[in-house]
Amino acid sequence: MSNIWILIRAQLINFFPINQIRETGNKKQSSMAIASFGIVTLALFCFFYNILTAKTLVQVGQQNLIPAYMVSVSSFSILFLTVFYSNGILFGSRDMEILQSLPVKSSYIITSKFMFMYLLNFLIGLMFMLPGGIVWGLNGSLNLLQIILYFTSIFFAPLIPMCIAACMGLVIVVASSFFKRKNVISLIFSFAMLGIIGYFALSALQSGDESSIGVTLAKQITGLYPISRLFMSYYNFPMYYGMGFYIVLSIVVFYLFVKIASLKYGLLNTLANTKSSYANDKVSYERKSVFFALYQKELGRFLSSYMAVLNAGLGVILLCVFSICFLFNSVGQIGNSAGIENINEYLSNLAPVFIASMLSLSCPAASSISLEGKNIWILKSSPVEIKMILNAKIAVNLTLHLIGYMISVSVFMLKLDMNPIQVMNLVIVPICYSLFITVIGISLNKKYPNYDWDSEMIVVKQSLPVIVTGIIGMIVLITPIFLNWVLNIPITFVLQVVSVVLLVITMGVYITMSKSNFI
Amino acid sequence: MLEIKNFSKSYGDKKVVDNLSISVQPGDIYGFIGANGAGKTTTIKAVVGIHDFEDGSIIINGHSIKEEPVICKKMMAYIPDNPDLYEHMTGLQYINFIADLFEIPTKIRRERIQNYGDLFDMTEHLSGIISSYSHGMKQRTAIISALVHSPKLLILDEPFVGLDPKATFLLKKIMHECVSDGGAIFFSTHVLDVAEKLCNKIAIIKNGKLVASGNTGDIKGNESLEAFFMEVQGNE
Repeated sequence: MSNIWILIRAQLINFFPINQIRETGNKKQSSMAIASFGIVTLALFCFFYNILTAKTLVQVGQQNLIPAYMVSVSSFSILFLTVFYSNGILFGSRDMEILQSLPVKSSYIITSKFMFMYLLNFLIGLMFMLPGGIVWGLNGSLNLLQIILYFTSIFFAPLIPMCIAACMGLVIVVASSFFKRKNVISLIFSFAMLGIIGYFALSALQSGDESSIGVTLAKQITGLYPISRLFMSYYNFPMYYGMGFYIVLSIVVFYLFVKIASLKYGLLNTLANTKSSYANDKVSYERKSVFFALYQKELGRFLSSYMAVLNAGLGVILLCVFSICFLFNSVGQIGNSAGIENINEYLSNLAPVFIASMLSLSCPAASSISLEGKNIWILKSSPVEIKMILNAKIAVNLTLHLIGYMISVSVFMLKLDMNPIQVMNLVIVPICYSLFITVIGISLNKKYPNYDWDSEMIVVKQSLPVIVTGIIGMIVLITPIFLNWVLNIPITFVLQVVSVVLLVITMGVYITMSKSNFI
Repeated sequence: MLEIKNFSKSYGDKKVVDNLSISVQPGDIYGFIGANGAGKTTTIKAVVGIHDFEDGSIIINGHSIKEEPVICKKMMAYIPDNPDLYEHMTGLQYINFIADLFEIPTKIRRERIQNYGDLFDMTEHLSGIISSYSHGMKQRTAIISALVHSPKLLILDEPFVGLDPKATFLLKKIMHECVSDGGAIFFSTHVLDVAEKLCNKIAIIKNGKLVASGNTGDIKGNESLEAFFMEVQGNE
């Protein structure tokens, strides 16, 4: 047991720059302060949002559904998020060779890796289950056992979704290892898995077409995460039996996962670490321009990174999927099912915000400098201006955005009946947001790079530039909607003003950043 | 060729290199010797423009690395102690990428890549992806990419680590050819025998401070370089 704790502690020290923060005058102190502020803001936002959701359930007389709802939504979120990074932590991280050479059991290594992932997911679960539990506790006639079991189950809630996500990760690792272009196959499998999860979520939301709101909600909740049924009282089956069973089930599933995975842990790591083995027999010595060489290298680096494409590419991929779905559905039909009368006007006004939000989700530029990792010496010692290096990284981000932009703008233009102002907004607003988020992302990464990582997941998903870029993206997206809602200023006009402001900020940041002689 | 004047570099409150001055002339093979953590790699990384620094100046052929980094970098090549190359590229793609950054015309790069590829037994491996290379193959790829633009100044950090005897021999030969063409070499090493035989000049750094520099023969006198180095290390 002490070995597991030692391994977890080492991962925590590596993941959170604890030693650097302790060191007085270390640059990481300020970056960690900003990251902490961002994370706390997000957590508080999520916490209060869930309080409001739970209160709404109380208002419609469905307070008994709060535990199942919170378990369902938190488990689904954990499942969705863990699929993105389970492979980066559980299998194939850089420290694996050292760990496997130490006199430590495989089951201890996998348990420590899993528990490290658990700590991150526990915090996600807490943001749902704690506020839900508080509202439920204050508004229901509950006995002490129910309350104790509910709050105890917060600690166990992440285990089952994490095991399911890790099993999905395992399938991806094993299946892709049979192919030469391993990364491409991994990505196809990953997006297929996410598609399956998305399909289940959509089916669950469409399943509740009953006359009673309680039955509708119950169907939706259990459709999203069937095990959440254990948190409901039905057929005179007391809820605390279900909760107790849930805790036992979580422990059993976790135990079985660790035991089974540790049996072939060495092999799984070897498969995860197997590099693509293709060769390029085309011999070419053709000279390219410096910018194109950098751009091509950058694009290759992005596409070769399973983590980067899966995480930073998600927004654009979702945008393409939504646009294609929109193409094959009638606008009127969407309006009817959403209960919006003037759906054409509504969508025509908000389409630029929707496209901009999806593009803002995809910002590989925010981790592109850190992703250089130990290769950073190559760019730093090359006779190339820093501005050129940054331009190549920005160009890759914009290329990615361009794919989603072209598809979505074409579809929206085709499907919606828009006036010239709305068309202008549709074309220009996403471009301004795309330029803004890209330049902000790369400037933050330039200021706070991290070249010492064990897994790409750390810089792609959880680094300061990525988190802060995400928060800034959310703020600039919410701002026009907020101004329209509170001050009643027309959304088309607000979007134009915000876009101009974003362009000015983008220019200012870009010019400042480009003057530097060092990355 | 390379003038390091009163160079100092700190990490936080800790000064790792203190007031270092070294002058490398054309024709020099200049060995930079010191214990682990003495400040060799920090100095080398500042020379090639990887690290910024607070005090002093680094001048390459009359140009400051701080003020005119692109001009300086065009004249030199750097080979790090650990050849971390782009693993998603093939060897040939990587060397071509470096050649593109140095704007080497197609005809010249073809000749040089073929020449050095054959010399280092790498030609048949260059179509393979770098992630499948051994440490030595990566090191040889890094050397070829450094030589593809015929640098006037070669900066090497522990260049012989990980090389097999044949590649070591070839690299020494190339170093001699480079200086006989009017170039210069500045490299760090722990292998004192190699430094003694290869270098016409050496500098010894201890705890960030230069303790000896000049002609190899003048510095070590009648004793071996190893004996002199141990003597210097022992004197606190």
